Amino acid sequence: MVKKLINIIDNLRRIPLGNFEVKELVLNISPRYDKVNTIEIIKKYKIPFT
Amino acid sequence: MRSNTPELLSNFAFQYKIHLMKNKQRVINLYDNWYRNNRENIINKNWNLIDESTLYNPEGDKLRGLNIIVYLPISLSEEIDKKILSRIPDKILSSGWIIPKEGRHFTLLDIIPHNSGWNIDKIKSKSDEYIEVLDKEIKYHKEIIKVGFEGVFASTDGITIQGYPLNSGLHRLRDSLRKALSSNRLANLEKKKYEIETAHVALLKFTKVLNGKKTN
Repeated sequence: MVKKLINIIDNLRRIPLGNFEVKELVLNISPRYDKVNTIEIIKKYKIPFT
Repeated sequence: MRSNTPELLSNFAFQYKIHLMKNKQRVINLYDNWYRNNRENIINKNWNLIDESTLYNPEGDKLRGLNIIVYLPISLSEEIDKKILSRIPDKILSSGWIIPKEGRHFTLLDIIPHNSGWNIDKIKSKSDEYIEVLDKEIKYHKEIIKVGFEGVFASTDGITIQGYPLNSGLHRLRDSLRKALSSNRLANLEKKKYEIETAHVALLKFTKVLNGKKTN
């Protein structure tokens, strides 16, 4: 399974996924991983600031 | 006398393009180095698993951080599912926690990393001071921030999407926020972890070794 993982990742190293323009920044208090359930959002900023 | 403004502008645009290409190459090199080091460790099965019990039980994990993040648009997350997750066998996917579409993000600034020893009360007691400084600085940032995503790498703790700044907006905002926090004597402890230059997005975190056995 390790070899399979490495093969898959090696083949996906440069696959284009898409671009976007950042519209919002989220200042928050959260644990390391979970940014959905445990997050406490302090403030959202629109970018560019209007 | 003929104005040479168009020529100057075109030269400036060319130089800027070169500058962006160099920046992208630098980030590509960073990702390549991360993967090269991790690839070896994955082959040697030196896993760095995350603890499921804290992941699904926030009360069991009291460590919190203060950070600024950017969520990915759902349309991009769907593209990632289509182009990446669909190609990974279930046996690998079930060895980890797939970050849900609505939670996929990159970190703009990890001001107080979650493992800095600050408890939630300490962070909250300072948050107004941070807001005051960030408000002022972000207000002055008028540049568009463009980011692109291309490829993945694996590490001993998971699978990560590679994000790249597509213009100087991300770097400039990070830089100005770092300077503002420093000049206002507000703690920015990101260097305790690492100073982010990239726009990488965690997609999956391994909770089990790949043969399916739990290590804890």
